Amino acid sequence: MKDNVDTMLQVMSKKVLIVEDNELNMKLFHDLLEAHGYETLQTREGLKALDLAREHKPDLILMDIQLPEVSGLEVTKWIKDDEDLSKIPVVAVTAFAMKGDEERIRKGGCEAYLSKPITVTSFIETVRKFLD
Amino acid sequence: MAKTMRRAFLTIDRIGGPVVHAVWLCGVIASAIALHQSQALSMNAICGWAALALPGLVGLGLSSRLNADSRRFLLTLSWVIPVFAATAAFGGALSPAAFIFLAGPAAMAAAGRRSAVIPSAITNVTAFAILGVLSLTQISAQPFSDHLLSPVPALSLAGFFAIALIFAGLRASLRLDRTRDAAKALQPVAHAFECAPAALVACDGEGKVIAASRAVRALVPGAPRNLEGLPIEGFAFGEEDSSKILQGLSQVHMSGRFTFSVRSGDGQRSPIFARSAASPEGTVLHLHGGAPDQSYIDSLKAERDEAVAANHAKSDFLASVSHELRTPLNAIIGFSDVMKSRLFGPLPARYAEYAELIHESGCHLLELIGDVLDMSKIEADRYELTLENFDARDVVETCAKLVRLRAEDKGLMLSVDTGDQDLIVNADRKAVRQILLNLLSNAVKFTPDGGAVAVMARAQGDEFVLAVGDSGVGISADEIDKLGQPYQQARSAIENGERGTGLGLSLVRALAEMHGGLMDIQSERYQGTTVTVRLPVLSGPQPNRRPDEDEDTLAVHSQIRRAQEAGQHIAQASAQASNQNKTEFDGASVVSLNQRIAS
Repeated sequence: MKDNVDTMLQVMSKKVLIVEDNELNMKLFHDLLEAHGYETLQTREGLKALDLAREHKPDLILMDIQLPEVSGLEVTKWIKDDEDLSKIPVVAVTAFAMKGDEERIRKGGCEAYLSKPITVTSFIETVRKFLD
Repeated sequence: MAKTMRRAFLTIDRIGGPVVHAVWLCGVIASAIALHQSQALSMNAICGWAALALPGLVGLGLSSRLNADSRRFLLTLSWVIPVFAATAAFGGALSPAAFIFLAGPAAMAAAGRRSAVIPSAITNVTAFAILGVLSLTQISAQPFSDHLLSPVPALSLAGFFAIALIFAGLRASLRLDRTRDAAKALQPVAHAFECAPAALVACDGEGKVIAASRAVRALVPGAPRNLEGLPIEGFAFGEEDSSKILQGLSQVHMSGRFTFSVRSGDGQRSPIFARSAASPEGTVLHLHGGAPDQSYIDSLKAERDEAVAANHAKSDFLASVSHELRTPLNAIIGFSDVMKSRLFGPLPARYAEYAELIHESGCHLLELIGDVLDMSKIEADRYELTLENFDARDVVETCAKLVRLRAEDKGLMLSVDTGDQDLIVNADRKAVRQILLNLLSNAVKFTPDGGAVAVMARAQGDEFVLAVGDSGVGISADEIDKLGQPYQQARSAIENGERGTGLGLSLVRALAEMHGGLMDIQSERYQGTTVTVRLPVLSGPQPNRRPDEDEDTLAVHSQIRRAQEAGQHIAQASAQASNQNKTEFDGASVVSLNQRIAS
């Protein structure tokens, strides 16, 4: 019984770390995830993202690529190099949408790639694919 | 200085004529009076003196309203006839009276230009010769031969000659000064040409050198210091080069460029590149040698590197522009998408519509950004086609659906004809879609309200033919050539108040060419435009393909015409509708009219 509740709680409170430097886009992703029952952690800096990931062990990371100091690809590399974190799927959500960008980003260790502007349906579908 | 000189010359020019003629008149009158006092003059003598007074009167009295030529003619005549008569009367050609013949040319020299002196002198010499012959053949009575030898007439004549001489002299010296000033003023220009840091040669119409800059000698070793008057083909290495030069000179208005060879310092053939320009005197040539020095090569290399870097910078810039535009678009499209999908509950109808509009505009903006980006990729040769088999009719229908709303808002008749057979093509779906969307949105954009837009898709031979026509503002013939070049927009587009990236057609052309196809624009100003794209991408066997090749392209035109007529009916109908019921009329009634006419 207790186990069941625990599993349910776990399902209910899947944590998504959003790394995004644009406030409005952060809000959009946060609202979308919240509406679908996910818990979010937010940061606009790559270095903080690593700390948050270590501290909270999120179930999914949404990673913007162009970030103020360290690039999202760099952060992804650190995460994938870290034994504790490498299992966490990283979905790149980026405005780098030229041909070749997706390939480059996937090679950088991201499990999935979403180009901005996103469509609500494909965004939620992608997130669900990793969390459900 | 030159100004004072000019004023002096003008004064002398103005007063010279009147003064010498007045002096002549006074001299004649004074002589006649003096003679009359010493001896009573006969009627004949009075007539003779009166005749002599005539040129003075004519010279003073000639109206400046007459033109220069007729004045000169009258004056010459008035000097020769009375002088002829008087000289005959006073002593004939072989008497001192013959001096009077000099008075005419002298007066002309003091009063007018050199051009007036010569005819006068010729006339007077002729008159003198005739008189001389007459004097020899017939011994005539010479009753007044002593008149001119008396002191007053002699002094008057001498005084007249002196004054005429002074004026003529002043005139000549002023003219000389003026010529000298003009020459001095031209000197800097001549020096500039001579010292120009380029090999310049000016030739006359026959190819003779008028002037050459010093740099020519460095380029053509052994050329004489003074090239003036020498034929330019003398520079040539051989016969063939001479004819190249002559041909180059004769084609100055056409190509303006030619090459030939000269003999270098060590007797070798050395190539010369010439650029020519026409001048009023003939041709001006700019010569440059075939072996540029290292610094020139370096500067060219630097320029090339700069251009390459600039091109990279452009691509990078466009890429970052794309990134920066997509970021806010994510919020615009994303949030409006959230509202559209009612993620947080129901929305009042009006707000829901606004959300739809925001979403739609955002998507349109995204397409434009895509165009800019694709063009930059095509320019950098980095665009790659992804070929797949699909039915082109689906793409046509989808694209037509996307612009239909905009067309109907403008009261445009949009007709789509994809034929009744499958159109399976092997092409890049996204590119075909982009071609169609660009053509359709251009057509809708540049067609005024009440016009028509038609799109046709057909298989012709092994080609997939897409034609989009409109009854819009059209494009003039000279602008069609420019269109399809990146960033060029027709003037008609700008006049129409419509602005775009100027990329639409160039993208269409580039995408068509990447498929091995062609884009063709047919247009007439104020009549409409049809853009035809032919892509050799038909896939698989095409059942029952019709053999007649041109029919379909022609059909587009007639279809547009029909649609255009329908569009006019719509416009009229909407005008009537809005008059009848201004408050209730809206886009919907146009749409319904549209449908009625279409059916």
